[in-house]
Amino acid sequence: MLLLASCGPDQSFVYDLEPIQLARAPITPGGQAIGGLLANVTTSAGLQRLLVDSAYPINSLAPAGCVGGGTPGWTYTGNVDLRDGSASAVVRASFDNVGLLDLCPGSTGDAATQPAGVMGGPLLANFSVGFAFPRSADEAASMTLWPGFPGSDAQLGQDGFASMHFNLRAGAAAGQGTAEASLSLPNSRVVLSACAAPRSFSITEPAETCASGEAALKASGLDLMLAVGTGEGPLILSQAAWQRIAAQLGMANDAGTSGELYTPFTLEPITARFLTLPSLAVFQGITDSGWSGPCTELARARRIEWVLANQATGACFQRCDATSGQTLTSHAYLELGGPLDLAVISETSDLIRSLNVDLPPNPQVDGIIGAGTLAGTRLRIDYPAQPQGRIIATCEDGSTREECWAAPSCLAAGQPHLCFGQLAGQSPGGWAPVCPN
Amino acid sequence: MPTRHRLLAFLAATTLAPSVLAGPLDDAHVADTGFSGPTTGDLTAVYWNPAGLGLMQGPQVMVGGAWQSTSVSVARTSINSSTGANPGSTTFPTVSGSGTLQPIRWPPGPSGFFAIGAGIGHRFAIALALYSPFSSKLTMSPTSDGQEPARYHLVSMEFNHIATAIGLAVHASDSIQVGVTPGLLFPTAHLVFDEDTALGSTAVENPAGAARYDLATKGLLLPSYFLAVGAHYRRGRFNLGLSYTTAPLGTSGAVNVPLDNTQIRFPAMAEGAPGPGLCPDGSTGSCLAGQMSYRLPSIYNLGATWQATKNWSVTGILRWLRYGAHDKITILIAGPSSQAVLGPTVPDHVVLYRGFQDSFDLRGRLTYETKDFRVGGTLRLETSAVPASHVNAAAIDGTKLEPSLAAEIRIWRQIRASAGYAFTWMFPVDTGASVFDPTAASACASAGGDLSTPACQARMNGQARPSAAGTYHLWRQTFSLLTTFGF
Repeated sequence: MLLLASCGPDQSFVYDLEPIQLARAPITPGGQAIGGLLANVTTSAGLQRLLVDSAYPINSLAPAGCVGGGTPGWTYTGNVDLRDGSASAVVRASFDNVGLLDLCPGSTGDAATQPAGVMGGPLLANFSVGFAFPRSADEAASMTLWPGFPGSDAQLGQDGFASMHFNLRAGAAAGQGTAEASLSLPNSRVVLSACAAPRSFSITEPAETCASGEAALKASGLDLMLAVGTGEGPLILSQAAWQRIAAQLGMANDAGTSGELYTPFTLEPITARFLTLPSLAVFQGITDSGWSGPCTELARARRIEWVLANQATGACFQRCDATSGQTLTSHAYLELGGPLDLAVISETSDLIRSLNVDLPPNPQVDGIIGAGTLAGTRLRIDYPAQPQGRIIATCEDGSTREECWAAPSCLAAGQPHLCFGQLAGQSPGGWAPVCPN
Repeated sequence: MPTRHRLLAFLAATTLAPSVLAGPLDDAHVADTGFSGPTTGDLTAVYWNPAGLGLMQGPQVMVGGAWQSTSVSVARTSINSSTGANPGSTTFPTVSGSGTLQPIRWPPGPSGFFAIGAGIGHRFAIALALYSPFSSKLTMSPTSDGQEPARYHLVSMEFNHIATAIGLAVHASDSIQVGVTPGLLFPTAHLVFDEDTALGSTAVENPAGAARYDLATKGLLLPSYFLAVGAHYRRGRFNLGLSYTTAPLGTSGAVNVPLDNTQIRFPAMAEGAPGPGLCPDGSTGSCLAGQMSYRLPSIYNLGATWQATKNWSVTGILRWLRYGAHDKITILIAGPSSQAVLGPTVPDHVVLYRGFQDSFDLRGRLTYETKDFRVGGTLRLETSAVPASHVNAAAIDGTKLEPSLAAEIRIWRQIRASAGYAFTWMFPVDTGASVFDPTAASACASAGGDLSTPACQARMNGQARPSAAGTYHLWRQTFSLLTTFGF
C-alpha cells in the first residue's frame, strides 16, 4: 500500500517523506545556479524540467513538451510523476487527477532553462513543504513533502525557527484566452511583509532611545509586501517600490545595469535593471493586534535584543516597546543579506500585474522573493497549519548574521527561555525592567 | 438489601471505565460484557445503536467499568545477522508482553462507561454518554537476559480514545425507532519503539544502533468528530437493530495527535545518562515536538433478538469493522534548527506500517431473564484485522474465539447490577514471510529513492523495518461491572 494522501474527491498523491533533490536555474542570465527550483517530468517529448514555484497561481504541464504540439490554454485533469532534479531523474512523487493547464511557462533564469510545466501554488498548498536552499551552487537544493509539521510557534521558536504566518492570496477569475472563457484561480500564493534595506545593527552599538509613541519614527528601511516565489531567481521589485527604496538609500532611480529577466510568468523576458540590495527582513503576512509594520517591528525586535544582550550593564526596555509596564512581544523575522541580487521591473509588467490579480481588497504586492534571495536558508511553507499557514525558517549552518538571521518571536517575560539565540531571563533580577520616564 | 448485593453495587458504581479490545484497537465490549448490542433498549444504545434509546422509559443512569488483562507472546524467526532477512543464524528468545486496561485514571477510561438519559413520553429519548470505543495497551517485557526482540516494532503502547456523545432517538412509528449520536473523540497516545539507525548496513538489529522513540501526548487534546446513526424495528417477539458509526469526520477518518512529550534517546544511551543528546545543553524538558496521524475504522452493527419464550431469548450480532482504513501510523518530529542529528542520523519521520483489513465480529447470545434476575452466555468469533504477514508486536491479531458469561440482578427497586467475564483466545498466528523487509532500506537507497521500485515503495509504506516474522499468541481476560439506576 502506498503512502497516500487525498485532498479532494479525486486527487491522490503518492510521496514519501524524504527530501527530493532539485536542480536550480541560473539566478540571472550567466549568473550562479542558485535560482528557481527545478524537478524533472516526463512528457512525450522526453525528460523535461518541471519548475517548482510557490508564486505560480496554477499547475501547468505541456504533455507534449514545449517544442510544438499541445493545445496551449486547455485545462485538463492529469497525472504528474515528479522526478528529482538529478541526472538520474528518479520518480519521487506522483500526483494523480490534478487540475492542470496545458501551458508552457516562460524560461526561468535564462533563455535556455525552459520548463515544460510548473508545480505551482495550488498543488504545493496540499502539503507542508520544506525547502533547503544551499548558498553554494555546488550543493543541490531539496524539497520535502510532509502532510503537516509538528510543534507550536512557541516550541519551534525555542528550537530556533522563526514562524511567520500568512493568508493565501491570488484567488481570482482570470481570463484564459483561446479555449475557455475563464479560469478560476484558487488562493495559493504566500505573501509576506518585508522591510527592505534597514540600517545595519549590532548588539554592541550604542543604545537607541525610544519614548512612548516613537516606535514608527525609529524605524529604518521601507515596508513592502512580497510574494514567495521558489521558481524565481533574484528579488524582484516593481519600479515604484524601488524608487521609494532608492530615495532612502540615496541612490538613483535608474541605478543598476539593464538586462532581461526570465520568469515563468511571461513567455518573453522582461526588461529589468539588475543591482543589489543590502538586506531584507521578512515578516509575517498577516496583521494582528500588536502589528506595527515590518520596519517598525524590526527596529523593536532589535531594541529588545539589544537590551537582553546588555542587561548585565543595566540596560532597560524602551518605553515605546512596552505597554502598561509590560514588554511587547517581538514578531518573528528572517533577515537576509549578503547583499541580495535584485531585479527592478515596471509595475505595468505582466509579472507585477499578475501578482496583484486579487487587488483590491488585498494590499498591493511589490514583488517576489526568489529562490536566489533565499539561498542559505531552510524554509518550510506549512500550508496546512491552522488557523493560518506559516513559514518556518532557519538559516543554513555556518551562516553569518549578515548573511542570514532567523529571529523567533520573543516575549521578554516569564520563565527563562531562549530569545534571539540566547537563554534570557535567568539573571538574578530576572528580566530587565522597562526604562523609567 | 443483602450485604453481597450492596458490595456489588458499590463496586459497580465506583468503577469508572473498563472495556475490552477486540481488533487491535476496537473495544468489543463497550458498556458491558454480556447483554448490550444493537437491539438493546437502554443507555448502552448510545454506542451500539442510538435508535435503541427509543425503547427506554423514564430516566436512567448507567455507571460501569471493566478490568481487562491482555497477554501475548512473540517467538521471532531467526534472521541473517548481516541483512536482517529470515532465516539466519541469529536467534531470539520468546518474549512476552502484557497490558491491563482499567478506568480509574485521568484522562478517564478506557473501559469505562457512564451514561445518563431519559425516554420521554414514548416518543423521544435523549442521552449523554462517556465511553471508550477504541483503546489498546501493551508492554513488551525484556527477557531475563535483557533482550528485546520486538523492540523495533513495539516496546510499549497505550492508545485511548474517549468518546463524549449525545444520543437522540424518536419513534418513527409504533414499531420503528430511529436515532443519531453525534460525538467527540478525545485521543491520547503513548508509543515507544526503537528505530534501527544501522538498517542497511552490515550491523542490523544491533541494540547499540537502536534509537528509542518515546512519543506521548500531553493532557486533553482537540477532539475529532464522529456520527452514529441507527434504526430499530420491533414486531412481536422480534427485534432488529442496524447502526453505522463513522470514522472521524472531516479528516478522511484520520486522527492527528500532537506529541508534546517527545523524546528520542540515542543508541545505547540509558535514560538520564550523560552522552550525546538531541537537545542543546542546558535545555529544560524536551526540545522535540511530534505529531502522529492514523486512521480509525467506521463500524456497521447489525443485531437481531428473538424472544423465544417468556424468559428465554436468542440474540445474534454482526459487526463489520472497516479496518482497511488503518493502513499506517505516520510520525513527524521537529527538533532544534541548529543540530544535525535529527534527520540525517536519527529519522525525523517514521511510518509504521499497519496494513489492516476489515474484520467481522460475530456473536451468538442466549439470555434467560426474570423480573429480578438475568443471565446470559455469549460466544463471539472475530476474524483478524491484520493479515498474518503484517502481524507484528504492535499489531497482534488473528481469528479469535471468546466465550463469555454475564449475570444481572435487581438490587433494590430500580437499581440493577450486572457482572460479566470473558475469555478471549486468539488462534496462534504464524506470519510466514513477514511484510517487513529490512533489506528494502538499502535497496531503496541504492535506487536513489525511486518510488517506482518495490524497495522504495516498501520504505515509503513503513515496511523497511526489521522483520517481524514469527509466531504470535494472544489471550485476554475481561471482568466487567455495570450498575443501572432507573427512576
